[in-house]
Amino acid sequence: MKNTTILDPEITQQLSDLVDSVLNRLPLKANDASAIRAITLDLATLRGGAEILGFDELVAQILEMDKVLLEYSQAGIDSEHASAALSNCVMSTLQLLNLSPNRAKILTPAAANTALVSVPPSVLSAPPAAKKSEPIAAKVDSTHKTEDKENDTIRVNVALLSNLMNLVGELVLTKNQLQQASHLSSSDELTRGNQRLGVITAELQSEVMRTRMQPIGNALAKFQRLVRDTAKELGKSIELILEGTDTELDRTLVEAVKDPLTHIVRNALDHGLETPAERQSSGKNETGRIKIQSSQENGQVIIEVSDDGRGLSVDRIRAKVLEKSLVSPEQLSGLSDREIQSFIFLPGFSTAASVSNLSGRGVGMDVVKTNIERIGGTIELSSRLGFGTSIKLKIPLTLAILPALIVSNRGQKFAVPQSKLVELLRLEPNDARSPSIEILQGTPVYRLRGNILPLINFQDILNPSSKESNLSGEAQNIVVVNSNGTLFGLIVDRIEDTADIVVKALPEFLRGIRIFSGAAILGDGAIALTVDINGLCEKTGLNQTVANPVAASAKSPKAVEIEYLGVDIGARGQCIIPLCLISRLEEFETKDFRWSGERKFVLYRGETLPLIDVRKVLDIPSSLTREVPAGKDKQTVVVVRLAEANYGLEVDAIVDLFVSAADLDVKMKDRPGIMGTLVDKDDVMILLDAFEIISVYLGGRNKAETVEVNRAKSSSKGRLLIVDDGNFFRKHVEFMLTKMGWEVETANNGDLAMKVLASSSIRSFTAIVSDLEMPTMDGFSFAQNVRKAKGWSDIPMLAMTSSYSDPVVARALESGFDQLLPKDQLDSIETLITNVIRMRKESAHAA
Amino acid sequence: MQPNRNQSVQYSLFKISGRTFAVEVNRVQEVVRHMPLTLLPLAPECVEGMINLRGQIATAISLPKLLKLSGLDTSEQLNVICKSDDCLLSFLVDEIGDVEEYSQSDLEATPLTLDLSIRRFMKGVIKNEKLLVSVLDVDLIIQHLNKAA
Repeated sequence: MKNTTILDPEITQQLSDLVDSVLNRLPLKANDASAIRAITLDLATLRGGAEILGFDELVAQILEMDKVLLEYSQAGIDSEHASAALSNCVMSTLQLLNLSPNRAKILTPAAANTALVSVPPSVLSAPPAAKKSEPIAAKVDSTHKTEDKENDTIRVNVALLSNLMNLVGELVLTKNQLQQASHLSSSDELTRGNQRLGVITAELQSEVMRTRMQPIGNALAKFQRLVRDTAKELGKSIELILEGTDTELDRTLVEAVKDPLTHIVRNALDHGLETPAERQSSGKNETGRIKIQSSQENGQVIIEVSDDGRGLSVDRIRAKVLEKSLVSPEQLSGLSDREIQSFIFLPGFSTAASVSNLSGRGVGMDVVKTNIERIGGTIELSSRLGFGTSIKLKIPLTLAILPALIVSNRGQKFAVPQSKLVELLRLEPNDARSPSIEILQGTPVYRLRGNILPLINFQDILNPSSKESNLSGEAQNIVVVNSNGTLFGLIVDRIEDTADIVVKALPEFLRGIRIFSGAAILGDGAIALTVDINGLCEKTGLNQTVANPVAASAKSPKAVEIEYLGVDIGARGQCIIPLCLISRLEEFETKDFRWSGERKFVLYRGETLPLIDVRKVLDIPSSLTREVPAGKDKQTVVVVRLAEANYGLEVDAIVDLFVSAADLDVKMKDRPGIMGTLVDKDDVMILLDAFEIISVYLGGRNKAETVEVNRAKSSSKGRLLIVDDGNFFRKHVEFMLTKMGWEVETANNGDLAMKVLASSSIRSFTAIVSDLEMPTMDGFSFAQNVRKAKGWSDIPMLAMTSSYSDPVVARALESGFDQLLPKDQLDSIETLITNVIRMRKESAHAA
Repeated sequence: MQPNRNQSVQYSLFKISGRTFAVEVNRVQEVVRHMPLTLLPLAPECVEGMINLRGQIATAISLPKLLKLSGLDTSEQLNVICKSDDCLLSFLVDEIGDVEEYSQSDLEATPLTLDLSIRRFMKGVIKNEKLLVSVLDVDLIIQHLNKAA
């Protein structure tokens, strides 16, 4: 009976109750008007239910019965024939419901027999109905044969089953106690009895477990209708194939997988499968297929939902990840396709281009994942672009039983769910081969194969008041667990054993503790609290990296690192200069210094290199500076190139190279020549504004020749819009271009830049220079928006990026940029700007 | 439905540090002797731990701590197991008394002079010839615990 529709058991029950009620009134007595009325009413209800459920066949069947009744009451046909026709219809209704009559015995044998004989066509005036009856009548026969077996089921309250399970659990515990006691006794009789008891209780336990099992088909029944209706709505042709619907799992789990599965199927319907036209053009069968396969494997139920649709586009996910700044482009490039696909399980992540009433709103896959994990299951996704997507759910057979690792702390036992377990480490105190626990800023960490693994001392969590450190001396046991991608180690006193535990919920007022998800009774009667790894993670603040499923050690999103040169200028604090501004580091003999009035310079590569005393420019009081050793014969100089000329900044010493992703804080800017401060973790660094220092130096010498005036002279170069979210970088580019004679406007991100454009008159900008990685609106979407904007669609656009690679270039060009500049080649920025302006002009001419 | 003034209710009596308390007997599942306690780290102070009651887990609440009677001499050796919607609570008490039947009219409102820390859990006071019995309301206790959590 492959094509039998499976119904929700409650609905079938209601329907079959109605059918029973009709059957009860058969055979009809002559002229029994009240019976007819009652049957008509029942049929109406039945039809209503069938219509709602979309059982067209059933509705037709009921309409037929209605007709028979009507004819009977109006024309007064022979009551026996009418009864026969009715029972025939009822039987086929039952057949549709895949049931057998519970009260078949109520039918008199004669009536039942007549029911099986095909109805004389004369009774049913409508020929199609008569045609239908015959094959069904044949089927009814087979139903009768299996009737005995199907009648074997009874309905039992679930609470009763739960009680039974509890009692069996108790029985097992008592048996264990008895067995322990019997070891002390020498009675063979007792030992034998105990062994038998053990076998029987184990059998009893497994049988009781089975009573709660339901076929997964119960949850899948509604999908046929969902698929059919949705496909119709979307104008797609989709076939749903169910396999292994008789796979059994705990009824609470059947309920629990319903919603996640619905979501997955909807996703497949809406986004996964293409329209018939699209499918045809890509050489696929017009009818898309969604297959739900269920099977049992190693104590788990595996439900695999696969479709043969378009599959997930790794590129689109990648773009989305960058757009949302979930990881830096460098990190992203190191990820496998599969890892990238797993991003769709993050909250708010949707690659769907459009949102529909079905799916694509970006809430979903994360909820699916959470729900599946809540019941101890796992979810896996694999997809091939163009070939389809497959999502595999692995669900434990029963919710009640949780495989766990039992650990103990100060003699008390705790259970850690196996599903969260990664590995167990044992650190011997004097083992030179393995590193020991290290203390980082007062917090224990461990180097696990080179990566830093944060450690949580379970004792500290359980007993926050007593900060006794037990981390030295003895051997340590570390349970490495994984909470939604965050790895951490839990230091426990002892690792006891693994056990299948039956978890019981904690009362409401204890749920606030968060680090325990329940309690279980162990084989020896002790109670073990189950550790909620995710809760523990939240409690300790480790979940802050949860948004990143890739690696626990991943840095904060959007980490564009800039290199700085640390210099000592004799002032307090560490001064730094961005490395990208520096062309060379030199050391000059003091005897080579030349003077032109008050201006100190050296001859350097055939030209004059002005030497600027940074300390003087910054106006640092001499009390703060150190004495320059007398007779110092060498001067360290940082050579900075600005507007085709070199300038030398005198510094006391070069300290080191610093790499930081920190952004500029301008609050500490107290004088010209200092751009602000960078705070990177615990280090505060003063960022020197090399250009301003030069400008002050020039201005101090001769006001008429300040750069500002220089710019005014040649200001006709054009007006640029610079878009970058990095304060430093934007300022820097702005300064450079201003110096070169451009007029510059700036914006922090694409969104703000769009606003600037909207409020400016058309063609008031010559070109746009934009960063690619920005919050709110990134460079890609910005370029797309500009190209769509009225009046700006042909403006020359140059992109800047710190992650210059072929795919990025391709994407940038596709988004509407004309050219791409790696951020570390800023000196060629002007060349590129003129380049893109020329390109646009040429293409305009060509058009 | 308004309870009949003459309708009688059965109460289970128990003692903590010489003071007599009672709860309605239909809320009491059973009374058991001292059971080993499993500690519940980070739980509210009045939660002493959990006990394994033949395969079911009951949360043990120290009534002296809940009622802020600490400082009094208590032994808390006995468990009065009470049913609630979703859990079993075990109230640790010193001594178990009889089950006694009183009519509704015997239950008087709690005098407002009583300390709020006790009064807020009380349904009222029962007076018999010899003594006054403080009747505790299990639901009020659960409500309080849930709110505090």
